[in-house]
Amino acid sequence: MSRLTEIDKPPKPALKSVGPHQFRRIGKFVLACDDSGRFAFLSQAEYLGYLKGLKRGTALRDKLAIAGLMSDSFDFDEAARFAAEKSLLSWPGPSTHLLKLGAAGRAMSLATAKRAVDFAFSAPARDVGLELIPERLESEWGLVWFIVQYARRQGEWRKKAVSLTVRVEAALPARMKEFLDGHRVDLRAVVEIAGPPSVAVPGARRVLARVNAPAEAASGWIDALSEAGVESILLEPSGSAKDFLAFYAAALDRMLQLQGRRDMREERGLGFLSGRRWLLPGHDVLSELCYAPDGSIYSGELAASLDEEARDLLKLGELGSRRFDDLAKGPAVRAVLAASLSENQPMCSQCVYRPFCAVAPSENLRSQGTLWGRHPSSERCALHMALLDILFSRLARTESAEALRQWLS
Amino acid sequence: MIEIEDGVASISLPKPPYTVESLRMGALLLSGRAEAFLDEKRGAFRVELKPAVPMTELELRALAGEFLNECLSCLYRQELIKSAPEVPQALLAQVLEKGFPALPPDPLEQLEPQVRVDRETETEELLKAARKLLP
Amino acid sequence: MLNWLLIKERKFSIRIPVPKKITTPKPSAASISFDLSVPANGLEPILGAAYLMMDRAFVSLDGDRAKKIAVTLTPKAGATAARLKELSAAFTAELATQKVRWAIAKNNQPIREYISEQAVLLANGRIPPASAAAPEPASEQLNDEQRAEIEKLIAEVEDEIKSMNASKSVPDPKNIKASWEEKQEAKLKGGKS
Repeated sequence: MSRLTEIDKPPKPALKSVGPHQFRRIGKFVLACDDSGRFAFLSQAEYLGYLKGLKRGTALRDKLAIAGLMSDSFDFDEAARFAAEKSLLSWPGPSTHLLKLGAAGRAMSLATAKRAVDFAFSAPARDVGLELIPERLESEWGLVWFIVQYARRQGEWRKKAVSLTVRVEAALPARMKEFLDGHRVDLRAVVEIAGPPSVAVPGARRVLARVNAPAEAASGWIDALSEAGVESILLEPSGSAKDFLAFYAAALDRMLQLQGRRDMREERGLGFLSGRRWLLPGHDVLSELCYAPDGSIYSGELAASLDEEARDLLKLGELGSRRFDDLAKGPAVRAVLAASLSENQPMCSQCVYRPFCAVAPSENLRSQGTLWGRHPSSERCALHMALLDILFSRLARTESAEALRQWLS
Repeated sequence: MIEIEDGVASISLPKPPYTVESLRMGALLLSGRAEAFLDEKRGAFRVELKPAVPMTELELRALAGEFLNECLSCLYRQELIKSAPEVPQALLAQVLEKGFPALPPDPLEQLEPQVRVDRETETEELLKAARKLLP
Repeated sequence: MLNWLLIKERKFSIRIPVPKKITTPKPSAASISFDLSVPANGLEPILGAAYLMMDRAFVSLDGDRAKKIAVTLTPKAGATAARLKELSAAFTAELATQKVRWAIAKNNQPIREYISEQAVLLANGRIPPASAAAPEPASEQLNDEQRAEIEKLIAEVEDEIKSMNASKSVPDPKNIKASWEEKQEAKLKGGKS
């Protein structure tokens, strides 16, 4: 069976009533979803009945009509509104600008840092998110000091909300912590989830966690992190995919149990459920841009870390010689955007998770050698599908569905 | 279809269904690992894959197989886009046209040029102070 | 330098003999082939099913896009009889499902295009969103209070008209209060008599 799943002996569909949708078998159920993310859970018998054609006046037909799945009872206005809101038509610009303050021992200059901040503020988004990634914080502290204050002033001048984050791997000296707290800068702690729970960076509200631990460890880690005040966590696999998925499911369940007492959200899950591709962490151009120490602009953090040939493909320009509105004229942005459109991707175009998911073109390039990738054999695609199976299986349960919906509110 | 001789894989590809574009995409995939040489006769392409480092027959067949899969991927994608070009075209055109607007001039700076001067002065002072913190 | 630039067109040398005719590859013990009618199955479902096999097989194609396509699958993990059988079953099942997926997609393509057009217009502000639609029309359903108020207003206007008419009985020898029409009528009557 392919990862899209199949139907045993599929009937000839009743084309007069079956609306545009994709489907997926998840265990005993079939998830059917329209192009904008409106979905319904059906039993296999119900789904086959839907394909064959449903009589008017049945409860199932009404349920599917509300979900936009009946082409002969279709609310075009609502469908268009959903499409306008959730698709790239509503893209506000990249939400996160990542500044790599140092790489391979070379630090960004102050002039480049200023240009990076100026560039970030020239993007159309109402809110500007800057994440500073120091290589050696002690020697790059001057850069952090300048960027934080300059960005805050730019926010006041341009009337934009600014969120600032510094990525750290260890606890900060008191003077740095005091400065960052005073300027409302969040800390994103990089954590290896491998052994017993530990909180290396007190005060960090955001965590990037590389997971190489069994599912049994998940609850303890989530409890420890939430007690330490962590509100947002991005879980990335570091060991086997199977172990990661088991950990993810257990961690998600624990987060949902804690909902209301100590709220913690998993960033990728939140990005998926939002149905807005530009909220998926790490997506080239749509959710982030990355500025290297030498002033190069890359389509994302991963793009900036690829080998030279691949990196050159995803280099969008240089700070100081490019403006934000120049980016659209370059071939790299056009190629990245074309490869990001799931309508153009063969497997994505038939996937039930299409409205919620995307594999970053830089990830395709890294793992499969082209911006398009080949999703049937893509590990990242397989991972995303499995994560979405976990999320949607929780949406199918009443007690966890409500907690997940609160993530989005 | 795949012949291995003297450490080189030769693949015969009928035309149609294969296209030059699909072969180009296949060759792009092999970047750094092998060179692809194309010949074209009526009714068929012939591609030779010369690996950058010597490979066993099994490895060469796998390389040739990856090449074929990438060609298929391109072909199918072309069919997909051909079957329904309007929706992605409309989206892409909209994003490229509206998603990268030029930064409008700052109204306060336009109204009062001194504002710009003051801001630049403030920025310069910040830079001066930051330089002292750097090694 | 991107590798596609390295595709060089060159003539064959004598070293590599040129086959005069490309023949359909025969299924070997290492692979399995399917000869599929394009009119019966559809080109897109055939390509779609073949595409979805690429995680476990190398896939090659032969044939005419309008008439018949041969799909050859070579298992990546080595060809055993069991694997070939499994691959065959998987491809057959996937082809059947692809036919359903593509039938639904093609049939609903006009709906998708319409929604996409409307969404673009909405995004560009060319049509107002449903929530900011035209102001609600005046209600034709009056409540009792509104009805009473209107009746009161009508009564007041009627009284005013009556009082205006009554005021016309005050002597007006030069007919100053008379309207132009009344004056004309009076002239006519005076003329006629």
